[in-house]
Amino acid sequence: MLRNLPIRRKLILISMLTSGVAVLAVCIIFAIYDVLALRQAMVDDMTATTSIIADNSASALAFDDPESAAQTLRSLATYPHIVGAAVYDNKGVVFATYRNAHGLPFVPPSRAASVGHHFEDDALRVSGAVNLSGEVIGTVYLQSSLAPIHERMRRYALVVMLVVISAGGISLLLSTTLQTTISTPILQLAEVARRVAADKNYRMRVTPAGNDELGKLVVDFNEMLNEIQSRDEALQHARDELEMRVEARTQELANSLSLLSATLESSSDGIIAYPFDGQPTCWNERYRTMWNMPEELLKSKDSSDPSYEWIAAACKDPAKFKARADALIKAQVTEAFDVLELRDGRIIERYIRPQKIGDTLIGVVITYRDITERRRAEQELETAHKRLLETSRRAGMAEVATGVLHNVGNVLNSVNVSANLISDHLKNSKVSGLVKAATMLHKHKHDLATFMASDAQGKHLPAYLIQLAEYLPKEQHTVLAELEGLRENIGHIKQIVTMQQTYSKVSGVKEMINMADLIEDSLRMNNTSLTRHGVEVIRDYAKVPEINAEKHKILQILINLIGNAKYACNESGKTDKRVTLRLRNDDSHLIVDVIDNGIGIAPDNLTRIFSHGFTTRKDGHGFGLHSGAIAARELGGSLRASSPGPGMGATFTLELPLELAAMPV
Amino acid sequence: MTTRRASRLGHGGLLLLTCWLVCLSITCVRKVDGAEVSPEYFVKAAFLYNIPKFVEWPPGSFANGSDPIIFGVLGTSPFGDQLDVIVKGRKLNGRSVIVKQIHTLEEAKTTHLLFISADNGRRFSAIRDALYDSPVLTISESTTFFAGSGMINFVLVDEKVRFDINMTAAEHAGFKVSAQLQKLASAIQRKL
Repeated sequence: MLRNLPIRRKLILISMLTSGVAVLAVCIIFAIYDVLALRQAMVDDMTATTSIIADNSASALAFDDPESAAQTLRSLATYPHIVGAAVYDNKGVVFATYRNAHGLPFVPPSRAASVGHHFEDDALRVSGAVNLSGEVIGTVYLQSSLAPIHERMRRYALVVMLVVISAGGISLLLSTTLQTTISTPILQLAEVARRVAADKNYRMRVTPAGNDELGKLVVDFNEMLNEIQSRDEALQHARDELEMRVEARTQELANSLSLLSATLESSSDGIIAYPFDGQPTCWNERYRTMWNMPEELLKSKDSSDPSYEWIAAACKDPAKFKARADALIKAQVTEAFDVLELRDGRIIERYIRPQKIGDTLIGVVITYRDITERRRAEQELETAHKRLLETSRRAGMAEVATGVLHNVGNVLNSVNVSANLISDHLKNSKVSGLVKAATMLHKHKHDLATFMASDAQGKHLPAYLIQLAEYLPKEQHTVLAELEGLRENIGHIKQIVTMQQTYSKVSGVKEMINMADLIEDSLRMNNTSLTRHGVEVIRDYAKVPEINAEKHKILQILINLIGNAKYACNESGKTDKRVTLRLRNDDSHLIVDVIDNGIGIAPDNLTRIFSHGFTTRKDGHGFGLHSGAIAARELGGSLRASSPGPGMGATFTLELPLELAAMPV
Repeated sequence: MTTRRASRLGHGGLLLLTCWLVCLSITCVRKVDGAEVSPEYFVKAAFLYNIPKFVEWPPGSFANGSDPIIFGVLGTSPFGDQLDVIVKGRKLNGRSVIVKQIHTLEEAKTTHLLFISADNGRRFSAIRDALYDSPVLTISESTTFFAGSGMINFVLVDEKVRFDINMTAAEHAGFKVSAQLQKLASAIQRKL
């Protein structure tokens, strides 16, 4: 009700109600207070009167004179509100009574009441004791009507009514005039607000009135309108800008899309994106052509994955493909790599990668790569590699053979020299003198004595024969010695050839190897060249266990390493060429160090020297160390190189496992 | 037995006892020492006891505030033991009351209140002379004695015991009689 009244009326009503209620409350409180005070005053008055009457009745009671008591009571006639009174003797029996002359009804209680006062039935009843010399000899009872109080209350009601009415009138007058100071600015404000809301015209302002809260409200309201106006303009501006930006972004997006599409199409891989919740969103033409899929299949709105069955059908083993695909989907795998073999012989790699927006997974991107060609190339490469390995092994063997032949050649040289020497010896042999002497003796067999005695030649013949006899054993001895050397040399050649035959066997046969012997064999194969080039060989062999391995492979490595060391020393041009061979072992490996003080290795080359085809030698083929490293690996060991730098020599270390059980064959 | 009860009951009990006694005195005839006490003397005994409450003795009548007040009965007592019963254990304005049987006039001077019964008719004038100027409140029951210089005299008006007061005699002796008492008197004599 009050809520829907206009503010003007509301203000008037409020002020009237407030003042009316306040005045009423004050009046009522005053009235209650006054009535209570009046009652108290009446009680006090009556008690005093009772006491006086009691004092004046004492003698009458003491000397049993009711008439005197009645006389005393009659003095109460001056109090018109006292309806009646009575005096009781010490037994509580009525002694004397008094009744108001106005004839109000009064019947005294038949027995004396207890001392005190109480209001009852529109009457105030007061009882007082009559004392004489400290003894209670009777009671006085007074009864007063409450007419004065009632009269007072009636007067108050009237006054309160008048006061409330006049206060209401005054407050109506005042509030009607004063409320305008509040309601006018509010109404103005409301009017402007209504118009702003209706017209959306934020340029309107309210005229400020005064500096109170309403004035401040008006200022704030205007301030708010300012703010809204500027925001409205800013909003409009932002909206325009946003539109432009949307356009720009759309363009950017189109560019990105075309770039993406071009990238997708330019890829040689088949790419397709699957969101988790439905049909593939994006694929490239290569994907379609790779699987030879009809366009309609990809675009079909079939709820099941359209390409699933298609690709499965293309696989060599569709059941395996499906099992794998289902497992991946079930485990919600978002990253996977598989190789698919197709019926048509192609081999396809499949990569699955998660597709994310921010940190949220929205699907997977599947990339198919045709690796048929690569596989073939790999196989070819492997074949080539195998071939190369074989070549290198053969090259190694050739090197061994070269060494062998070199040695054989050297020995043959000695053999040749020995043969020539023997030949020369035999050519110049004194045997021919013996033959001449024998011929001479035969010619003169008949005149042997004469001849011996007379002939000039015959005379010298015995001395000659003696001489010859002395000389020929010497010659024989020389030739025999030479022949012995020749035989030794031939034995040497035989040994070398046998060795070559031993090592050139292409077999994986393992045998127990004494590494020191094997190093010696390798040195021997390089012996002549080492000697020829004046390289000092230092042997530093520790006592090591025998190992079970393929002898020829190790020999190949060692010959190669020693050959390299010799070459390095030779190239250095130093006078003190030195190759150290050190043999040792640790807990698990047998270690051979081949140390030279030759040209050394540049740090750059340290990692490359084991590469296939790398060589620093003019006549090198780059197989040696490469095949050596491979052979070491095949033996379950390793081949390493180290060098302080160019010109500082180098150390090649061959490690071979002691335990062969663990070695892969 | 009655006395023992009274002392035990205290003030309230005393009040009840008094009521009972007054009641008896008005309505009953009691035998005292074998002789009958008339109802008239019950009332008179009660009046004797009440009168000092409305009378102020001249200064110097009592040695101090708690000095007992002495009731004397001159000649043959018409009260029997009634008066003793009334005053026993009670106090008048803070004083205990002693009832004495008085035989000689010399003795009479030592009392504060003297009841002169009617049978003292022969020595009224002697009594009057002896107590002249003494602070002894004389109460008689004879108009003869009262006409002389008695102060209070019991009379019978319509069968009821009343009293007259001789204000001249009382004031001459230095007594102050309360207006309350004067108001009840059937007659007041005052020489102007």
